[in-house]
Amino acid sequence: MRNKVSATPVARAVPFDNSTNGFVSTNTQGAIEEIKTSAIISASPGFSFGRSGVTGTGTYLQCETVPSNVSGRWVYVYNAVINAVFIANELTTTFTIEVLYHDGNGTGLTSVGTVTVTAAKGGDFPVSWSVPHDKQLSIRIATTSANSAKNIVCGLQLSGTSTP
Amino acid sequence: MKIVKNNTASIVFVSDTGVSVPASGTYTIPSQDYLLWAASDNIVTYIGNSTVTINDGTSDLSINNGTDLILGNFPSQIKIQGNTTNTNIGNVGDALKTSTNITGGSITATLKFSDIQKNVEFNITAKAETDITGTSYTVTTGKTFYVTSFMSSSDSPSPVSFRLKVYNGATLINSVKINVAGNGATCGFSWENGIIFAQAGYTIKVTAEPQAAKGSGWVMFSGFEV
Repeated sequence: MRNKVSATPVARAVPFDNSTNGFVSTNTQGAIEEIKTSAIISASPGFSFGRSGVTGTGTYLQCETVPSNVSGRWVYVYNAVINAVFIANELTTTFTIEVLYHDGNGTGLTSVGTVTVTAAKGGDFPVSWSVPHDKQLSIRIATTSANSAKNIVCGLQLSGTSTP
Repeated sequence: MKIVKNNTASIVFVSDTGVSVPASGTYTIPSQDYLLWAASDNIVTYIGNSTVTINDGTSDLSINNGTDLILGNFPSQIKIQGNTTNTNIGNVGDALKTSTNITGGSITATLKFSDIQKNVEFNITAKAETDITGTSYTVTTGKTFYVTSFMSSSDSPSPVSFRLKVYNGATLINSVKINVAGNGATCGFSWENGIIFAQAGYTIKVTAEPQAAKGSGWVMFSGFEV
C-alpha cells in the first residue's frame, strides 16, 4: 500500500503572470503584497469640483465653495494617476476643461491635461495623467474652450499607492 | 444683481475668486458666490484702478459704490429713477414725479389742517330736537370728510343733547351725541388726525334737543376733506 504524500502550499512558489495586468511581481505572494499597497486605494473617492452660473473660459471650478486654484484637492497618495474625468453640465454644448496641479494659492500651476465635451451635457473620459504627491488639483474651463459651461460639476478618479 | 464689467481688451483674472472676466466682457456673479466675492482683495484692487466697473443691473457704479456693493455694504447713495424718464433723483432741482411735478413744496396728504368749520350760536326756542341753522355741510364730490372736533355749550337752565349727524339723502348714516348739563356747561370731542365721517355727497348737520325752551347754545364742528 502506498503512503499519501501531502505538502503545505507556499504562495511564493506559485508563479504569477504579470504580463497583462501591470503587476510587478511574478509570484502570488508578491502580487498579494502589491495589492496591499495599491488596490485598497485604487478606486479613490471621486474628487469633485463645481461652479454655479455661467462659467467662462479661464474660470476655475470650486471645491466646497473655494476656488480650486486657491485651494485644490490634495493629492495624498503616492504615484498618483488620474484615471477618469467625469463631467456634468446644464447645457448641451461643446466645451473643454483643463486639469492642473499647483502648490496652493495658485502657485506653480501646471497643466495636466484637457478633455472636451462635444455637443453634450457631459460625459466620462478615461485618461492616464500622472500627478505628483502633495500637490493640489484644480480644474478650470480651458482658455481654449469653444464655449462656456453652466452650473458645471466635474470629478476626478485618482489611483495610487499608500507608500512611495 | 452684481455684474463685473471688464474695461480692458485683455482677460482679467480675479484669482482669489477663480474667475476670468472676458476681455471687454462681463461676468454676472451668482448670488451664492456673493460672500466669496465679498472676501476678495483682488476685485477691490481691480475696481479701485478702474480695470473693472461694477454694474448693479441698472447702471454702472462709482468706484466707492461698486466696492460697497461687492463687499455687501449698503450703498451710501440711494438712487431713485423715474418710471418714464429714468432720470436719477438726488441733485438739487430733481423732483419726484407723479401725475404732475411738485414744485411748491406743499404735498397733499392725509395729515393736514382742518379747513372746514361750522360755528353757530343760536337761541333755544323749542323743546323738541331741531336742526341748528347754519351747521349743514355737504361733502364735496370725490372727497371724504374727516371730522376733527365736535363741541357745544349751553346756558339753558336744563340739559341739552347735541347730535352731529350724517345723512345720505334722507337716510341717517351716523350720529355722535353730546349731553351738555346747561348753565354754561361745555362738552366736546376732538380727533387730532381726524376720523372718516362722511362720504362724498353726504350731508352733515347738528341738532339740539333741549329739555327746556330757554336760553341759548353754541355748537361747532371741524374737519377736512381728502
